[in-house]
Amino acid sequence: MIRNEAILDTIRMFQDEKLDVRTVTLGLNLDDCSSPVLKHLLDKIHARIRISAAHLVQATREIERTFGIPVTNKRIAVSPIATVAAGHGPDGLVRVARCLDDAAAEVGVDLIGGYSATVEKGMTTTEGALIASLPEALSVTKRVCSAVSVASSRAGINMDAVLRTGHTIRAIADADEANNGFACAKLVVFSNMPEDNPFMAGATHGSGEADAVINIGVSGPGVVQRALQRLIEGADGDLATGEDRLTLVDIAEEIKLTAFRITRVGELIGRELAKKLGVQFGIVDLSLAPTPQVGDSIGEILQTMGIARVGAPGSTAAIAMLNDAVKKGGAFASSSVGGLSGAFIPVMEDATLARAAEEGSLTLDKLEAMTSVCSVGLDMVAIPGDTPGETIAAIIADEMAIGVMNHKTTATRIIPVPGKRAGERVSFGGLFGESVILSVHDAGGSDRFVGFAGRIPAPLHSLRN
Amino acid sequence: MARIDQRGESHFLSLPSRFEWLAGIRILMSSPTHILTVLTPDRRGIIAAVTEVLDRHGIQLQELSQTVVRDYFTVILVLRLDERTAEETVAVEIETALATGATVTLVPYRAGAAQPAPGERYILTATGTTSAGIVNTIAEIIANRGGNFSDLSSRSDDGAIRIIAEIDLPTGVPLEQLQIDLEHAGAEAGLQVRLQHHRLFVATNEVAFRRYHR
Repeated sequence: MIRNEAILDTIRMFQDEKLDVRTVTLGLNLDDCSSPVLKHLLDKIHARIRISAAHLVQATREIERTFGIPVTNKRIAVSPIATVAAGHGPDGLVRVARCLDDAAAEVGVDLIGGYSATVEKGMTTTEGALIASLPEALSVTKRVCSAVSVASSRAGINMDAVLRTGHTIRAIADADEANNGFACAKLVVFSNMPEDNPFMAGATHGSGEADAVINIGVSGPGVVQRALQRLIEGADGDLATGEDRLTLVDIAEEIKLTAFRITRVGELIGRELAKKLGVQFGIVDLSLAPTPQVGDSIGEILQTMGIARVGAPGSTAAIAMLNDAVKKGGAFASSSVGGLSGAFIPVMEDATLARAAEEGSLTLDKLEAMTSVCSVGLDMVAIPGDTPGETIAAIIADEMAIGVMNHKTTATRIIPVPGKRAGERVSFGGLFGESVILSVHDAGGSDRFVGFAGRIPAPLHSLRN
Repeated sequence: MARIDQRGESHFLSLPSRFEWLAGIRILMSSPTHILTVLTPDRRGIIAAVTEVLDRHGIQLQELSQTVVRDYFTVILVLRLDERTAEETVAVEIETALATGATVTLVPYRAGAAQPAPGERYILTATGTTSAGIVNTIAEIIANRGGNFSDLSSRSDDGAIRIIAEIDLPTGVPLEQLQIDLEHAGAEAGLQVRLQHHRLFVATNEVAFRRYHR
């Protein structure tokens, strides 16, 4: 028998604190769809998605009803298209992107990821073609998302790919100028890219995965924030002193406990849905992913922890503790924790972070420091539209270095907003939010460095065998 | 609410005691003969007083469930009396032992009319402003769909009501329609009513969650 108080605690997470399952992502292996004949390739990909994902949305809806848990997004992640479509050029690859878009629309999913390439050590002809196709592929499709892995702790940083990606991001923004470069929000550049990440835009069905697998992304910054608020307000009322006073250890424990409960929600939904669909359950990714709504913000958690203005000194320590406690709670809750699992700090998607950026307390440099201890990187950061490709590449290189040297996943999702300068605003609406355009200081100051290209060798500690 | 099941206590017995327990299993597993209920203003020592009378008469206690609602103590006990025990004597002795205007009933045990249909357990919660007849409204909706309450608590304070129930629903119940019916009934009365699968609450509150997936 479950205690009434425990039942009400669970209800409160959904009813008052905006807990949801942020995404149900069906991973699909498309490797056997490969064909040198483009039409055959497209037909096979379309059929595979249409058949394998036919019941995804309906089954998810039934699970939502049974458990009374909202599932915000239903998505698909496919095998890296640069491998599936090996041998095809940029035009053919754009046709593949359109095919993915159509199939995703047909089965009713929000986004489809996997228009991807893995180039951390070297780049095949098709992988190069895929990167070249991105400006068109991402601007003519609605649902297609892309991830490019340019670095890993084992391989180092492929600076040829980084430089090329930097220029490509500019080209994507220019191709999608009518939408303020929104297409760039559908491209993630990774180091140590996970193969089971359910969150977009970086979801890809990795080579070590089964034919079909359900991965779950749970969120819940609001639940964590409210739990900490209750804890801290309660402690303030107690006027405890000495060893009884509230400390950061207590705050970390509260985050762990809350993360435990949130993760359990994700695992439950993942297992039930996988059973219903007759596919394997993969992982639950507990990532505190904010939305622009009030009460669903990482920035609010940091404020509750005592950082009055996000970006102020102490912000990195606070988010390090938050990220670590989230992982610990999640790891105890489930042996299937995977993906990214941490605290995201996507500036545009978090109203409090966006406000801190506007007020000047949260800068690109401070964000970079924070990403060294949290998940996942410079995420949804709008920069001036005239930022040179070399400078974008240098920003990417910095973020990749943090990941490579620390054996962690890092990423960038940068949007150079065409025609806009630092301090101006951009809005993408809905969950993608809005923010001020952040200043990139000393743009062009690292052109010579990134111009050397080649590869930054893998760090010494990669030699583990 | 406390619940004692003597069969479950064997985990705590030493090895010799375990054999004694096994020897007694025939009695414990045999059918109950009587149901005892006690309703009395709450105070210390009620359980001690009741079980002292039972022990003195050699009555086997097979199951017990007790709760306190608004300062009133109530307990239901499943018993096995042998043929020599005088039922009236037991009830009177318990009333005398409690001596606080307790209501004690001892009636012959009758097995349930029917086994519950196979199905799934759900948790119903309703929170909001107190509304006359809302428990009855919810109960009728559940009953009309073949559901059975296995546990129910309702508390109304300062104009706010909180209802929490465990409900067994038979397989095949149109869940979505039932949820809609409950939500509508709740909304009309100013309450938010939710019906969610029991496993959600196990998953979020109990460490040993995975065994529910075997």
